[in-house]
Amino acid sequence: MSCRPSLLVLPLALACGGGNASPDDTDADTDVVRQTEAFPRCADHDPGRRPLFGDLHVHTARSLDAYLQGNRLSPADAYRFARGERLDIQPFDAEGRGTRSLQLDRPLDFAAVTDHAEFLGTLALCLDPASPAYEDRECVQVRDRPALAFVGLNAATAQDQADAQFPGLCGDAGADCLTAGLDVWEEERQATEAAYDRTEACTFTSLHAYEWSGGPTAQNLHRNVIFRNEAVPDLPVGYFDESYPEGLWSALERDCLGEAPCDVLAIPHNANLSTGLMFRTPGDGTPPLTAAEAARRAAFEPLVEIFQHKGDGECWPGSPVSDELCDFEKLPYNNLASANLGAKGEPLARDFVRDVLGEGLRYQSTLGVDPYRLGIIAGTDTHLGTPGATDEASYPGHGGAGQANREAIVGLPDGVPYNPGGLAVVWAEENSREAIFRALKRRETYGTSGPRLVLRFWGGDLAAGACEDPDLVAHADAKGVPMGGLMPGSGATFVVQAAADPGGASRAAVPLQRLQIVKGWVEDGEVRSTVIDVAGDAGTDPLDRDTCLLSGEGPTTLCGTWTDPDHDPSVPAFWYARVVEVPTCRWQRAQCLAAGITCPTQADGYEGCCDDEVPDTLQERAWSSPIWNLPEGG
Amino acid sequence: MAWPPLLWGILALAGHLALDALRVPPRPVVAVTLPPGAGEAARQAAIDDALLVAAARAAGWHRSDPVVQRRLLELAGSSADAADAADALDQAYALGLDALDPLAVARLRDRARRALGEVEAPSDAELQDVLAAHASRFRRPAALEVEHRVWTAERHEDPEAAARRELASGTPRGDAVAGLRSRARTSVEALEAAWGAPVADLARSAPVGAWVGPVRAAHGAHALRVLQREDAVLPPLEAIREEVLAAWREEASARRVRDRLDALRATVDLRVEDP
Repeated sequence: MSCRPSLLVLPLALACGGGNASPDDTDADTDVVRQTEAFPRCADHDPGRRPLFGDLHVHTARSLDAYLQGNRLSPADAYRFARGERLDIQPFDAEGRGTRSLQLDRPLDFAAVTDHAEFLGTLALCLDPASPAYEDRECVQVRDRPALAFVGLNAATAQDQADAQFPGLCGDAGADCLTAGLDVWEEERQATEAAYDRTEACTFTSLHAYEWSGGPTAQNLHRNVIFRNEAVPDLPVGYFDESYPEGLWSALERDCLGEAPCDVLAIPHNANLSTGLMFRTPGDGTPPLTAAEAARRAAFEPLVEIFQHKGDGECWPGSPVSDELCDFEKLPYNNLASANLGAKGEPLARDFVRDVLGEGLRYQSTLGVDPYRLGIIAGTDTHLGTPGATDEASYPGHGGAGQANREAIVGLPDGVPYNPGGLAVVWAEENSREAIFRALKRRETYGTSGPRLVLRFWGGDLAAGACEDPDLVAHADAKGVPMGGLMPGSGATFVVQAAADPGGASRAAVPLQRLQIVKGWVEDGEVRSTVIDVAGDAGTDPLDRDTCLLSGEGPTTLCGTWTDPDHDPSVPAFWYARVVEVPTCRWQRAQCLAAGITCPTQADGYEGCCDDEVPDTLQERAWSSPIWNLPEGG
Repeated sequence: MAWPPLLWGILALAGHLALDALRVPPRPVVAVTLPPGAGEAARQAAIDDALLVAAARAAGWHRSDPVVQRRLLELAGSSADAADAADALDQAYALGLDALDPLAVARLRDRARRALGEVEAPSDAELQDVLAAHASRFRRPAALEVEHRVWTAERHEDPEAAARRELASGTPRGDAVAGLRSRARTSVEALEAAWGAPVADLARSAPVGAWVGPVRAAHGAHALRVLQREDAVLPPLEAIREEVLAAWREEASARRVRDRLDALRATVDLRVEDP
């Protein structure tokens, strides 16, 4: 590890070394040891905070799977896209030119390129004629038979945890690939630094990051590792270095937290494809967590990615804690192999966030610690290097577990169960690394399924008439806590506000349908839940299914208050907010309509237009981080 | 750094040109066979590759490069520490494997490309030039200090009428709307992203100091009072050095390779065979 603040002008120059070697999830404001830039530093700093829209899950051609699927865009390209530039994207022709073009209608506020750590060096070796591995059979496959390499070399991340090791071409203990990875990580580091606006205008924030991509027997354990500032370890930690999440955390303790000003958190995603492995729960056959393990987990992983290209992870329709809106963007697979091979398998309810939040409450009851105090974000998981490309109508396919788009696209750009993914939103005082990382750690975040919905949520001793108060933010902050917080006292009145995405060049404003609060609690040792409509009307549905046009109007702002009549401060509980739009056409319906497809169809590549198992419409939405009541227990 | 040997290679090639004036000898020949059906880009790439390999050979790398040597020994069934290594290498060169083996050729090509593209760290003056040449890319947007109110259709039967009434009072309060900042430093672009084009247009044309509006946009009727305007700013180099350096890196390396390949091309007798 070397901390590398020296390239930059550091308003608070701090020496490397020292510092607290455990993550801090509660008191980021005072953690100046890990601060490498002034805070506040932006001209538009606002203590009242504003929503910043970003994408913390982005792959470029430096990820082996993305490269094998035909991506040729670099990390620098991905940041340019995030900042609003138009890019030519895959498939690339024989002369290296992208054959499609894409641009966000509004730039993102922040992004992180999260290339898979496991093959950064491997891929570099396979593409370098000077490397001793160049002629290795697997490298030849990478260059000449990418589809084969995708299920061969790339599948090394599905090795059993006890046996996970670098591919043979990497030399002893992976030394050749680790060495080659240094240059790639340096390229990623430089691109991330170059994209960060360090002026007081604070127009864009890039965060250093990577993805740890363990998937033992194809059970997904992936985590995105996000750094607070420019002090980062010399190399990312991948599955072949550490094959258990606990090993990843230990490596981060050693290489980052033990080397202030480095600071870090990890964000798990796609538990829906983990077949029960992502979140250890009582009765799943694994030993129960100890209080120390639970606390360590909560400190390293304050957030979960609830929604992305590979499906929604909020709640499973068959779960006892589900509701009718849980039937949304569910992928019909339960592990990475079945997703890649299209072999359907039903996911487990305990892999979904609402169940997991409930298990966290049960741990709180028994251990006095909630390991799953998870705030919420969403992301795209694009493997095309196109952060924030969530528009349904122009969805280019995101690769990864979906359709590769290596060669010319015939018909739809992705398998129809997949979707364009969502956005991460933070309520931050300014658009800077320091402000965004603090918001992530305090969980004042939410996720959207794509649109730029605004969602705000407080709980505490709040006034029932808060929605009419023009000074709502100041009053709610003073008497309650925002999303991500712990209930401050015995009062349990909640205020939730939402505003529709005003739309842009590619999408008109879409009205809101409902604003809800989801409550979970423990009763007689069991997790219960309920969903309360606090504003809106479930019957609002102005969509013409034949044309995909909206006729008529609906609300574009909603606000509601709700006092929990059953709140008992001695009972562990969570509450989160959810806002849903009126129904709109899903991406495949919009693109099939534009292509003039009618069902049944014989048109090549458009079979998905007539797939009865995938709905033609969806209700886009946003989910807030919860507010928790976590009484001392154990 | 591998530049000096390659420089010698280029000079050796260029030397043939200089000698032209005295002895008019034949210029070095670089032969290129195009792949079948090659388009213009593929043709250019094939010519560039041939020039790069020629430059590498002129620099003597086909005999000195350790990767090429290792490869030739491997093809000859030997290794660097074998007693017969020197003989094996001689045999490989005699057979012309250094020019025939795709891996050896690829190594020479890539080493030459890297060497041609290598650039010294830029001076501040060079970076200032990049900053000036791409001012529009680096400029930060004009800023506004603005008060902003919204009257929603959910709270008012006629939002515009409600807005006008409150504006007439001189102290408009508007409604509490998620994400609305009643007073903020922002930009026209940010207002458009959050509230839509009509609000951005209103901000763009508003005089400083007076309430303007209402205009109807997605969330209701909007009124604004611009308190201050600041012009778009081109930040000083020290504030965005990494960003400018990245732009320079991106351009300089590619441009230098192109310039040097073009220079190289002028020194050789290029013979292109298009099957």
